[in-house]
Amino acid sequence: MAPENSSAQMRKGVLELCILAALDRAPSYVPDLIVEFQNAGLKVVEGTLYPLLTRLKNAELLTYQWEESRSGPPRKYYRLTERGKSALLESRSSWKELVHSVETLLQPIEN
Amino acid sequence: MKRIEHINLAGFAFQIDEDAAQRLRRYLDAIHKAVDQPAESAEVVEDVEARLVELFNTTLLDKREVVSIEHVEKAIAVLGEPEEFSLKSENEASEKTSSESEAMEKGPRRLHRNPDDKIFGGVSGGLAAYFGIDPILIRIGFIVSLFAGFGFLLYLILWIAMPKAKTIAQKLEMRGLAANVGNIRKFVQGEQQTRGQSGPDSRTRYSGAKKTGALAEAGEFISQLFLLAIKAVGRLIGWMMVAFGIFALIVVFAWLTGTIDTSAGRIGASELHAFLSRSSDHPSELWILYAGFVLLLVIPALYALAVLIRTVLKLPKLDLRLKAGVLVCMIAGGVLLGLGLSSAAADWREEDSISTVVALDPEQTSWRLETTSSEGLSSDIKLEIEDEEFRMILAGDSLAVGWVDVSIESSGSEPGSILTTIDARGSSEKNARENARSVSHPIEISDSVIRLPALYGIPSNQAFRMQRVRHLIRLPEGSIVTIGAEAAAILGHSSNNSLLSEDEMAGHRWKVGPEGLECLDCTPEELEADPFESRAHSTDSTSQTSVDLRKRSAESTPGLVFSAQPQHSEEERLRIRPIPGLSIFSRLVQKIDAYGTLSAFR
Repeated sequence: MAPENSSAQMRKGVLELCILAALDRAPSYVPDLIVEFQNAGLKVVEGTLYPLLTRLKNAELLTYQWEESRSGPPRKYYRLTERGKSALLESRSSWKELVHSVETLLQPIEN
Repeated sequence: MKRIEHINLAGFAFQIDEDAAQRLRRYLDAIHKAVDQPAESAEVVEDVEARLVELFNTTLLDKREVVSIEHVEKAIAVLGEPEEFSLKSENEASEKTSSESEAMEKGPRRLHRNPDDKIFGGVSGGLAAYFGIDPILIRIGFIVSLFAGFGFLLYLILWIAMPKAKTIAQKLEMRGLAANVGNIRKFVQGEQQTRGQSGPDSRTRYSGAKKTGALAEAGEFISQLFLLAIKAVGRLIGWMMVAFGIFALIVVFAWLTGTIDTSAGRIGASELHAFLSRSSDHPSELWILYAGFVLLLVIPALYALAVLIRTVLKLPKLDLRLKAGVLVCMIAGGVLLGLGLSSAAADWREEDSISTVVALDPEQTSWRLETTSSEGLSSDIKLEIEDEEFRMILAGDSLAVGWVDVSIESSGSEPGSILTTIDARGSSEKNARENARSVSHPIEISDSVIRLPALYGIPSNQAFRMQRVRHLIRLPEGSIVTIGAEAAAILGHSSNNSLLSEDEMAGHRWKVGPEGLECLDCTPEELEADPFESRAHSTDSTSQTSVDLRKRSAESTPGLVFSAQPQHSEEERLRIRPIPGLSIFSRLVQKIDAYGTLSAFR
């Protein structure tokens, strides 16, 4: 596999965190997540989420259950597993630290 | 009109336009490749398919509505382009493809001229791209074939046949790559990269950099001129096809409805078929002619009709392939007609005649000329042509032809006789004589009555070969002939010195004199009929030459060609007279040409 560079890693990391956070609030399926992301001002298309959800599910951070739908096949409603919940907890604090550090560094130099 | 496909998405059936299906297939394929972890791609595609069902179901108004390309594009807008399925940035993605050029998606391969890699017209470049080989090999091939003689023509045909790859999509198709967004972007990037690198050796396989020189420019100019000329010729051919089609429409309409009113009778499709099947030995020949007729006339007629309707209704123009098809049909029809006609003409090539002489009772000095008119023809009349000189009745299987010509002349002091000559055509002179012999034309002579049939029969197994019967009745000078009222119809060329026409001769008694026939019982009024009206004017005094009365009427009008015509000896006359041979055909054709087509619209 080709080595992935840092920007991809970062994007992936951020989006994964966002997914975990959103699913912590309520189990949802992809269009719900998109709405939530858009409300938060995050521009993501559905396509980006499918591979991430699959990967998180394979990593056993997420699980899903089928729900019947009137407009098509059953929908996958994702929710956090226990592992997912603890991962979110960890990530949340490390994210805050990261943001703080980055914010500090991004401060324009005064004086 | 679009073709539709039935597809199954996550267990749901959809009807989808062909182009939309193609787009969808490429999209799902691209997603499959775009997902970074190959192990996950199958599940991702499944999820996408399930979501597509939802998206389609919310945009389709009705279960029966067909998924169109718009529906697909809308769904893709929600789901995102395949690149969105990868977390790698666009730069990484393109780096990957420019380093591994094989990563471009495959698609249908199409033959195009390559405008970016050309010496003359880009044919070799296009072929090379199509087969994925070095163009130099193709060029060497062309140069070799140029010496073999066919290279130039081959190149020209390919040049005309292969469209130039103008758009990037076409350039991709030329190389067998799918013309999708990803490939186009990669292609354009490749093109820019090659432009950035300098030097002629940096041509990559996907290079879009132009390799043009003065020769190629000249080639481009010539190709433009050439295309322009082809376009002009094409347009001209198009107009000619429509004009010909309109003509064909009139002819076909007239013939099929049988509304051609010739003086010889109405001749429609059924009459023509009856006549043709009686004049052809080979049924296959007839069907070749009909096939040719349909291809040459009926199809262009329908084509012209379609063009006219489309022009009136302002519908879009017909497909070029259809037009080319019609042109091919016309050419094929012309060839078939030519083959059929030449094959038929071979059966009519030679002309010959047979003669028989019946001696007349020398004791008889007074004769009566009669015709037997009615023959046992069935009432199933398929064709009846009647004209001044020619009659033809086709009833059931029997063909009766009234093409009889009777002349009466003086034999001087010799005993009387009837010389019967039957002309016919055939594939050879021998065959022509056989065809003449087949004619049944019984002459009945009882006491003083000579009975000649007005119609002669041609046996059912014998084709019509323009068999024609002529009787020359030679009677000793001083004999008396009474011409029956019916006999006038067949009395063609008897000279009489009383300025009477054939019709007027009927029912009178005539004496055979040295200068022709002399009327014995004509009233002075009949004899004093206006010579121009009766169209008879005796000028020749030789009793042995019987001159056609019609010719004589021509002679009576100064300045006409016949006045200069030399007199023929008996032998010459026999040989020259049958020449009206093809006249019935030429006359038919002339009549149809002259007013047959017009009368269809009366």
